[in-house]
Amino acid sequence: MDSEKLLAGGIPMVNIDGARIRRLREEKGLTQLYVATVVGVTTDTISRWENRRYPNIKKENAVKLAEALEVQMADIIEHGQPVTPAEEPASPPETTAAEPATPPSALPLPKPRFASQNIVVLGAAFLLLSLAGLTLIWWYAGDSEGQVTAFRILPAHATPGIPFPVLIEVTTSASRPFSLILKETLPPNCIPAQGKPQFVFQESNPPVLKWIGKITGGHAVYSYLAKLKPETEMASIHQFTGGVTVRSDDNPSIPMAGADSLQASFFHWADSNSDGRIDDEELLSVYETYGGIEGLKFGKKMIEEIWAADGYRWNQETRNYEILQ
Amino acid sequence: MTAEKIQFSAPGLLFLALLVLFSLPAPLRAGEARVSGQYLSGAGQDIRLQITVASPAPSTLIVIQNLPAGTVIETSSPAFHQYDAGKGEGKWLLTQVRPGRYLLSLRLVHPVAAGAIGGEIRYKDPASGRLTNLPIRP
Repeated sequence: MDSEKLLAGGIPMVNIDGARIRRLREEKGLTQLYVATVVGVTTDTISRWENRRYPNIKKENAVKLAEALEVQMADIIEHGQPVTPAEEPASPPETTAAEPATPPSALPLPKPRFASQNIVVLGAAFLLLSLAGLTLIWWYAGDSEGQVTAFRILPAHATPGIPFPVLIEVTTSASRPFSLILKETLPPNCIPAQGKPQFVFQESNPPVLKWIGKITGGHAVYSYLAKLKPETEMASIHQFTGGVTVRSDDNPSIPMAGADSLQASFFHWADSNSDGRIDDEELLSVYETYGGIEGLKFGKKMIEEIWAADGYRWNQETRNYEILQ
Repeated sequence: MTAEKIQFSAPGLLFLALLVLFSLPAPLRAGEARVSGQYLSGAGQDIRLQITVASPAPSTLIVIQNLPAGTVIETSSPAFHQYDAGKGEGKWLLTQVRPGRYLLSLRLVHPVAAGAIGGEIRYKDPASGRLTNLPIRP
């Protein structure tokens, strides 16, 4: 077995023969203080080296020790004995203080096996740092709100007194969550009902709904039910306006895109082609658009009854739909 | 401390690096809905139809069952939402659909011959909004 080993950080270590060191020192009439001064350690360290059988010390110190004893380093190194790795590191703190770290330039190159492992470790560390950097870039690139859009989905018509759903989809290219204020102004003769999530209702003329929320994941959906006042004139057109404000101190309100008008009609809002029945495609469209909003009561029962029947018609006297079987 | 004790495992580090790489969020891609139907029993008195829905799932399916005109149904599970005995056409409405398998079954008063029935699944693709009509044959 080699008598030279590496400590952490690649510091070469050697085993020395304690008894031989004592004998050499005494033969030459040297004191422990002299040897300690030449090597640069304390007398306690020299004493410990001499009293242990095969102490394991830094190669640099072994070189100085050999110089102090006026012999070759090979004369004080123990060959063929197992290394006792814990010996020097386990020494009292005084040893550490007495044996300052050797500058890396003075160290011999590590063996190839360690060199290749170091390359792999460095490569992996570089890869991890690169990934961390990319993650930070990705994170901070989305720091702003990016491109924010608000899109309203509204039926083309609705019967006065019958609730209809309105959906507002807010999307953004930003990856980080941010706060927004969504404002929706209803037509003057429109009454808001349920909101998902709940809105703040400003009872004015025209009525205004507001949501203050946080958008996460680039997409948020706001929905509500509303109905035209029963006395609303049939075929009249009603306008919706709205916008989304992000960080109100900096940005103006972004106007809402999508549908913005609704006509008062005898036909059910789900009957998009106004043919007096709700067919498969109309039913699927309604459920695909509004069915995913949990708790939004947009009148499924009535829609399914009309779909399952041959048709329907509006009864102005009872202010309800009659199902045709 | 010995030199060996502070060695990092190179394969371990590479594994960690790959784990971090594949853990990075990837942009979501909207995919077409994947729905299929298969008759487990397509003749006789008991008709059984299995619908398989994969992700991304449409929220609603309409399953149309065509039987010989005048067929009388003893039971249907789940119950038909529409049935026109004169045409022999029945419709199931499946709402709040999630990925998985759905079993629809009918018990008829009189058996029907193999090949006398057929079906269709209708749904709107959640990504494109396109209406899909998917025929099913026994």
